[in-house]
Amino acid sequence: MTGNDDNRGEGSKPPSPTLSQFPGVKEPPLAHNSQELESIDSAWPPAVTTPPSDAPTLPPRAQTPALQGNPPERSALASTLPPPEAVGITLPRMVQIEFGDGPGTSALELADMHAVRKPSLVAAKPAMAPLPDVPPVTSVEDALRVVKDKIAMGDFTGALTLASGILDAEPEHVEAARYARHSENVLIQMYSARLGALSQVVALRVDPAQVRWLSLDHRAGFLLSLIDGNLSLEQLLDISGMPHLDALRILHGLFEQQIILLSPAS
Amino acid sequence: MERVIGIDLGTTNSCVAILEGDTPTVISNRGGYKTTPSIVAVTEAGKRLVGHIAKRQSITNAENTVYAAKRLIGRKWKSPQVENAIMTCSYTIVEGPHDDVRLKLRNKVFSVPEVSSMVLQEMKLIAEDYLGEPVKKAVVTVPAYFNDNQRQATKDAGAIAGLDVIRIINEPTAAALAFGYGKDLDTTIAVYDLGGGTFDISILEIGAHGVFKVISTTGDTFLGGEDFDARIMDWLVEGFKEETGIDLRQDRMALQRLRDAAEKAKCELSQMQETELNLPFIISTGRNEALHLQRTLDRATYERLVEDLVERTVDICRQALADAKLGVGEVEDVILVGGMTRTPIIQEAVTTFFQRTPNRGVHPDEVVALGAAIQGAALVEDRQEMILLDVTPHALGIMTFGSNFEELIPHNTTVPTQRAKIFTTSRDHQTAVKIIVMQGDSSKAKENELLGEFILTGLRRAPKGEVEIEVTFEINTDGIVSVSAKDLENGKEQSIQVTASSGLTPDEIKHMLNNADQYMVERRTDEKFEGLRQEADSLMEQVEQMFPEIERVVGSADFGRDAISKARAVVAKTRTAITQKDSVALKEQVEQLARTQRMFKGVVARSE
Repeated sequence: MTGNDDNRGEGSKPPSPTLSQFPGVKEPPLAHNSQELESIDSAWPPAVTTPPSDAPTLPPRAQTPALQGNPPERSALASTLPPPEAVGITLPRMVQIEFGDGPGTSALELADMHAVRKPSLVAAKPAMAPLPDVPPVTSVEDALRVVKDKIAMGDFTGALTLASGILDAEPEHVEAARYARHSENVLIQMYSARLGALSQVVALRVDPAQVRWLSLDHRAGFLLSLIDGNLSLEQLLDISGMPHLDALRILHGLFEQQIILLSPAS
Repeated sequence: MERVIGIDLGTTNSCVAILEGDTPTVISNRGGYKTTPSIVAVTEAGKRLVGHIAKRQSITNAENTVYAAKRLIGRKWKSPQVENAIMTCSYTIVEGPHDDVRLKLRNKVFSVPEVSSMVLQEMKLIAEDYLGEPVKKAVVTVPAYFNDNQRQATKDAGAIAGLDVIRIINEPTAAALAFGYGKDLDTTIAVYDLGGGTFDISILEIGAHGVFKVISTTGDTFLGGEDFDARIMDWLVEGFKEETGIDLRQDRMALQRLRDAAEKAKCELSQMQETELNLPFIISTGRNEALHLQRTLDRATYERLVEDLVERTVDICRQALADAKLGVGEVEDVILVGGMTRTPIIQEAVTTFFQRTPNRGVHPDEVVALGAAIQGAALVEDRQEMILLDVTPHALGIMTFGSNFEELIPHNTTVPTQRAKIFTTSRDHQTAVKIIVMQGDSSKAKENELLGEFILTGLRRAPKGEVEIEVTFEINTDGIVSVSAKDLENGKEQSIQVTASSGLTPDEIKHMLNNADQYMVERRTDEKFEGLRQEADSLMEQVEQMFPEIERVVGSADFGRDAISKARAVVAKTRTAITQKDSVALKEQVEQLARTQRMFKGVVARSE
């Protein structure tokens, strides 16, 4: 051991966590994430370059507007969604909405907040070449820059995952917390919009005896176990014991897979 | 005449009833259930949940879900029961400002009566929905062993819920009242009450003229249906662990499902010989791999799992009979109370012990609330033929030299009552004595509950044992205890009226009542808004569906374009009103939507 080795501890700053320490970031980072971004939230066009300081003040979930009594078929959804301004999102007019995972995606994947960074989701997509003009991402500042880019590109899932990763390393990071909150709020609005009024009653669409043959994870299984044909979406969210975004994401997946049925409250 | 509801405020479930005409009737809640879990929770969003919905998240949100608050109501912070609860409860119990207990949910602190008031408020709402009129008065039941502080705390909970609790009656008395209603009985009965969290056994005499007297009562406050559920859960968890090596206790979602499934299986085994527990996707082992739990539980296995619990209840029954100084043969009827008593093994055990088949004429879940409703009606209608004689649940007395407890009124003494005893000084030249009034059944004063104290001065200076002081205890029909001490030589007298305390000051109760009122206003407003929102959703959908047809009908006419753009504006304004939770604006927009819909329908009809 040399004297130089001993000098490292005193007075020197610990190295900033590299981006690869954050969930959602792989090497080479931007190329991969750009591809994800393309596949996940690209239909939400780049509208927000950075969230304004007051941006995260989206309406709380309880105030989510009821959009449709009964959610329309997927193809008809775009025309029936409210204008983003109505739900507190400053976005340009949308043409079509894709919520990332397609109808065939299992709720297991939908349930996993980190699923978007898992190779299995993106493996089927052709990898984009690394962007030559993007500097390597090695610090929190770089990670934040990627978060901003993701938000700007409408990849709120990716932005949330990455911002959460920064918060894991630096729990007090104000800016990362703001971006995380903003992304989470937008995603909650998106899933709420897709599902429709939270007052809708949730029922099983499949025979309970057939549930075990579905491709689900235990969290989706748990939510299914709560469904008794009487509880509303809002009540399910209340009793799920999960973060609202996770529960909404799973319920959206179950709805897309036609495992659950939503009907107006009587 | 003003309606009085009867409320069985249970440890795990509550029930509300009224007397309709001459028929006592239990009122179902909105979900159609006749009992409502006595569970209160606060969600992550700060929303209050009460009843079934709170129960269904009680494990996944365990820190913010209060169950069995009844075990803590009216207790002192340093009592053994509170110490036990701190060790076993998943929610946070903190010390209150008046040596009382407070509960912390989502960083907000609630008193125990406040939490119980939320359950009582729910019962009040159930009754009001059914009757279609406000309810102000109630008779609430409590276990026979509740002390005065616990009874007062229950009354305070009622006050916070906006109820005037006109009488607190003992649960076994209420059950006996419902059992004896409309009958001319002269008998001795046992009330075997196995609820969700507690077990009580009481021996009562029903007199020839409708006189009900509890002659002994005992129980176990930590023995109930939940223990039976836990045995099934353990069986499931162990079986799963053997098969897979995975401990489901580590996963809250799995535990919540296991608890629900265990309770369901227990109920099914009261009717069937075996039941299947099927919990798909109970746990994930890794990505894309979730395991299912599927097991069959037969009644024999279940009975083997719980037989020691059943035996514990039998031992307590034996104690109750001993307290009552009665033989088994002197009990002429046995009433079963609590959903657990539907379990065949319990019915068999009761039958074997009491050497008679339990009475099947009363509904175990409803009988206590029905009795409370009968008593409530009797009170407002002044029906003297239904006299309730309650007894003191614990002995009353004073602390004497050496920290001993000297009993003046034994437990199970019928109230109203008055007893006196003569004491002497314990030291030479003693000029004053301190009368420390206590309630409890231990001969050691420190193990009993302090009710109050006062000093009698001006005694003659004399050798110890010479001056005589007469101490008199009196309990009136309202359960108020008065204690007086009189110097028999000079006639000097001091007295105290013991006022039970729930641990809340009148100001605190008033503040909590205001909060409860405010909550109700908000809840009613939310319900009204929700109704409007649903109406708006439906109308918007109908109007939007008509747009293509309207466009086709009116073609390119200016009128048509104007009408459609106006309709779109109404829809947009409606959505804004919903987003902003603006009830006034939403009501206006719903009217506009309804007009638009009528107009569009007319246009379409004329075009056909």
